[in-house]
This record gives sequence, C-alpha cells and structure tokens, in this order.
Amino acid sequence: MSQPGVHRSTIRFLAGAMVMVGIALVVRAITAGGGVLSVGVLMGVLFVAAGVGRYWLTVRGG
Amino acid sequence: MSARDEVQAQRVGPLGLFSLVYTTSAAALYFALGLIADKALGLTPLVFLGGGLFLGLAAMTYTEGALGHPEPGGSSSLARHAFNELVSFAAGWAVVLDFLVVMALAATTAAGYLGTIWTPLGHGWGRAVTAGLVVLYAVVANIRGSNPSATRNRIVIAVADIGIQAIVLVVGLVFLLGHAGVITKGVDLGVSPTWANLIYALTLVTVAFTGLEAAASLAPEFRMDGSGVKRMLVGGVGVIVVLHVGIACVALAAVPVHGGTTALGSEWLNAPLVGVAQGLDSGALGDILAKVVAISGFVGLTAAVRSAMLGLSRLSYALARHRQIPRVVARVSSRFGTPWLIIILSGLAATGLAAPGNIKMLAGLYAFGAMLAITIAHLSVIKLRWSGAMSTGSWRMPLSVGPATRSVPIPAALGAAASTAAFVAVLILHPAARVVGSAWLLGGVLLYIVYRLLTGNSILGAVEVSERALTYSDEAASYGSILVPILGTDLDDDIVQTAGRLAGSRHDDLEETGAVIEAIWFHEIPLALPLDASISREQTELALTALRHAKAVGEEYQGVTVSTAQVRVRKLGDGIVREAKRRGVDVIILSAEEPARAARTAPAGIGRQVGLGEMTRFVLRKAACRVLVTVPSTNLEGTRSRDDDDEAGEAE
Repeated sequence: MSQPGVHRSTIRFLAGAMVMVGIALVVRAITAGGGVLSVGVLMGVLFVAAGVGRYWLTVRGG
Repeated sequence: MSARDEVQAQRVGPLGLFSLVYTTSAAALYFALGLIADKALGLTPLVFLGGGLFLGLAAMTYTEGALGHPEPGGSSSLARHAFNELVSFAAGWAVVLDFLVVMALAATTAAGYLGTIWTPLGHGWGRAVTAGLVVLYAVVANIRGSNPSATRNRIVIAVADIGIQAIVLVVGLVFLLGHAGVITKGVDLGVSPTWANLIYALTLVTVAFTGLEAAASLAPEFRMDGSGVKRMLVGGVGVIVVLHVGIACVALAAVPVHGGTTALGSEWLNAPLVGVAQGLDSGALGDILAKVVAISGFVGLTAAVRSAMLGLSRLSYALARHRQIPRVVARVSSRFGTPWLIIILSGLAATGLAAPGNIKMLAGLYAFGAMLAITIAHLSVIKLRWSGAMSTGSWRMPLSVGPATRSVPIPAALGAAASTAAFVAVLILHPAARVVGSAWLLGGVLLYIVYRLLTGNSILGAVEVSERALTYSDEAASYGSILVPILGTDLDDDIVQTAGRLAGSRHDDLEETGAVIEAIWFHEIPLALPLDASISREQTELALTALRHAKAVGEEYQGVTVSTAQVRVRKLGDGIVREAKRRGVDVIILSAEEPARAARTAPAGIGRQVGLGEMTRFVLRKAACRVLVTVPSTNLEGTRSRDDDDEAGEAE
C-alpha cells in the first residue's frame, strides 16, 4: 500500500473510532443522569461530528 | 515574473500552501486557547466548532474568489473586482492589521512558553526582549526568502494529522472510562458562561483564521488547478476544526472549570497548553510533558510569526502594485527577491505591539480586522456572482439561488450575515478594538486618499504598477533599451549622451554588451488632419538630420547601438508613452522644456520645483517604465539627471 493509502486508511480508522467513542459518551452521560447540556452529551456530539467530518473529508479527497 | 520568482514558485507546492495555513492555525491554539476558555468556559469546544463552521463558509468564499480571479491579495483583490479601490484598500489594510497582531500575539506567547522553563524570559523586559528576538528571526528569514521542502511539509502534515486524531481519541476514552460525575456535570448556559462572554468568545475564535487569508493571497502563484486549491482549503479547514475542537476537549479535561472560572484564562493565559500538560499529570511526567509543550510552543509560535510575516509581505506587495500604499515600501531586493523594507517595517510594528504583552487587547484587535476583511470578501463574491463577473469556468461553491449567470451563493450570504453580526459584536464588546481598530482603519483610509491625490490617481479607480518597477536594482544604469525623443534642439546632445553613458555601462551575464538606444522623432499631426497626412519635405529633412546626429553621438559609446525612427502622433507626451510601451523599453530619457516657459505653466505638484512642462509631467505620470529628465543648465548648475522612478507607473 502506498504512503498516501496508509495515511488515508489510518485516518478513516481513527475517524470511525471517534464516532464510536462519541456515541458511547452520549449514552453513558444520559444513562448516568446527565442532561442534554451535560459535558458528556456535548463532548459526545462533538466527537461524532468530528469523526463524521474527518471521514467525509477523506472520501472527498481531503 | 522574474527568473528568481519562477524558481521560488516551483519550490513551493500545494503542500507548502497547506503547511502555511496549518502552521498558522495550529500555532494559533497556543495563544487562543486561554483567551477563549476564559470566556467560553465549559462551552470552549463548541465555540471552536462554531468558529470552524464560520471558517468553512469563509473558505468557500475565498476558494471561489481565488479561482475566479486568480490574483494575490485575498479579500483586497476580490473587493477590487467587485467594488472599487477604496473598499479594496480597506480590506487589505484590515488584513495588514491582522497580520501584525498575529505576529505580536505569537511572539508574546512564544516568550510566555519559554517563561515556563526560565521565568525571566516570560515576564517584564525579558518577555519584550524575547518577543523582539522572535520577530527579528522572522524578519531575517523572510528577507532571505527560503522555503521549507515539500517532503518535509508532507511528513509534518501527515504526522500532525494522525497525531491530533489519536490524541483526541485518547481524551474521549479518558472521559468515557473516567468518573461519571465529570460527564454528567451540566453547563449553565447564560450564567456560566454568560451570553455576552459566549459571543465575545465566538468573535475571538477568528484569531485562528489568518492562515486562510494568507493562503488565498498566495494561491495564484502556485499554479494549482481548481480541485487542488479546493482540496487544500476544504481539507485544511476540516483538519483545523478537528484539531481545535479536540484540543479544547483535552484542555477542559485537564484544567476543568471551577466556580465559573478556569486557570486557562488566568494563571496559564500566556501559555495555556503548558497548563493543560501539567493538569494531565501533577507528577514528574507532567513536568516533562510541560517542558516538551513549552519548547514545541515556542518553535510553533516562531514559525507562525514567520508565516504571518510572509503573508503580510505578499499582501503589501499587492497593495503597492495597485498604488494603495507607496510602492517604495514594497521594493523588492535584487539579491533575495523579497520586499525587504515592508518586512523590516512590519517587524518593527509587531515588536511595538508585542512590547506591552497585553494579549487580550491584541485578540480583540485581531477580531476587528478579521471580521471586516471576511465580511468584505463574502460581499465581494456575492456581488461578483450577481453581476456575472465571476468566471463561469472555475469552481463555484454549492447551494446557490438563481440562474448560473446571475446567482447568489447561500454560503457566502450566510457568512456575510454572520461576519457582519460578529463585527458589530466586536465593536460593542471590545473597547480596545473599537478605539484602536477604528483609528487604524480611518487613519489608513486618510493616508490612502492623500497618497492617491498626491500621485494624481483616482481614489476609486484601479491603477497598477508593473512588477518590474518594484524590482530594486543596485545598478541604476542597468537598462537594456532606452527611448530618447529627439526634438531637434541643442538639448538633444545632452540626452543622447546621458543615454549613451547609461547604455554603455550595461553588462549582461551572458555577454559584455551595451544597450539599444531608440532615438525617435515624433511628428505631431494636428487633429484637423488625418494621422497619415503628408509631412513637408523640410520637416522630414529636419528629422533625418537630427536622427543621424543622434545616432553618431550615441554610437560613440562602446557597444551601444542607436536605432532611429519617425513616428506620427497627435500629442507628443501621449506618443512617447505609447511608443515606450509598444517597444517595451526600460527607461525614457527626456529633455525638460524651457525652464522659463515651464515654470509659468506648471501647476502645483509634480515637477513644479524643477520647472517641468506639461509634456514632461504627462510622461512622468503615465509612463510604464522609469523616466529620467535632464534639466537644462540655464536653470541649474550643470546638467543633472533625475531618476523619477517614483512617478513611473502603468495606468489602466
């Protein structure tokens, strides 16, 4: 695999992991009694957004 | 473009451009984090995300603008095409302020990071001196004009890209697996942070955007296709947003908000990432990590000063080419091919701004300039699209309303609304920005108007100076071709001899040879006659005799060739200017009109003090090349020549 290919694959893997962690953060924060504006929910949403965004950028050639 | 410029353009590829944006934006975190966390508190990551969305809108506007009108200058260039020179100047002047502020901010906080290792370097005079030395390094590096290699850029970007995501992921896992009390803690919106502080933070977050303006300004020189620029900007924005949001999450985890405040905005304001490192571990590991962060912060911020100075020198060069600032300040060094004087001046200004060490004031000032420039950029692209002046063949941002030839881009409209609102917020919430920023803008506009009036140029109209005219040469006599109007007077010998001396002293790299003197007799044909009307035999004989004499005098100088011609013109001054442009000569040598007559007729302004007549003043004002005027000895002691290159310009 070429160097750009390795870079792209690594970024996609990390982006997927970020989405998973984000979802887990939201679920744990809500199940532990946190509200919609709790740190865990906000962080989780940000992680999902960042992961999806970074994955989209690799698909679009970023 | 000179040979040297071409070599530099080949050395800096798309990765170099991305590196410029990335370096500046990433380095901005080293000083922006504390400022924003101080106001946004627990919502700091969301503020960075909001800033990222705003940056995305701006990136689309700059990309479309740069591809539709591929010229250096960023928002200033767009405003020139969409509105006029005055608006263009306002945008450019605002960005000049931003570049200066970024240099001052980065230099001050670079000293702050070093101060965490050795305290005297980060406080009082020690901080001012350290910041000054950082700026001095950037001045020297920019004058020398060296560029990092593409390979190094590729490695740095790839490592940073993966590294940032990995760090963010680890922080997410720490949150996930840590104590549930941390993630269930709520954010009391409107109280902690207050709405005013939240809006304040949203305007401050623009401090990370200067790389975008620098990239847009440089893009035309990289010869990239549309997809390359788009990928660079869009991809760059994505990576920068992930970086900022991720680091903000790390920071809040390490230095949490207690009682409505965070140490990031107080104790660690000048070195927030060192605070984050120490917050992650209070033991020896934290100390080591803090020192590593301090050194990397110093290095990154020093690079940011250098990048900002590069952007500023490029922008100033573009402003000078369009006669928005005196072009003497943007003169290019013949040795290094860089605008040395503007680099030195910006270094002095940045050092002055950095000296007080007030980074909160500087951040507010930055927001003022950024909001103004970005608003003008958005409005320019909307106007260009609406008027059909945007190239239809280049990349266009998605989501438009209306037909392709006359549409309104929705992202640019949203961006314009957001940046206008933010600009108003800056004026309300930042007292220093309101006073200093307004003074900077109004003072600059006043100087611009005075300069335009003094040089006889329109305040709103476009004027462009040739690149060659900005290239400084140590050899004042290095002219390849010289135009000499022959008038049939005793002064002809003087000007041909002056031309012969200049031409004879020219030496090329390839061969030792003189230049060509174009000795031209201009027949002024009255408007009552057609331009090809017959010329009397006496006039023709007079012209031939004068030209033969000029050829004999000129070719007495070693290696000089004199070519002669007769040209029909309506007005002598206009004919000289047109013929010089058509022949592409380096310099025109004129004999000033009779001093007594000229002194009576010359109005105030250019040429009055040396008694220049209407024709001479016309040529000085309109010529696209240098103009030398020999003043008759009846007015001055001996014959003197004046290289009036400050008045040489190319009018559009």
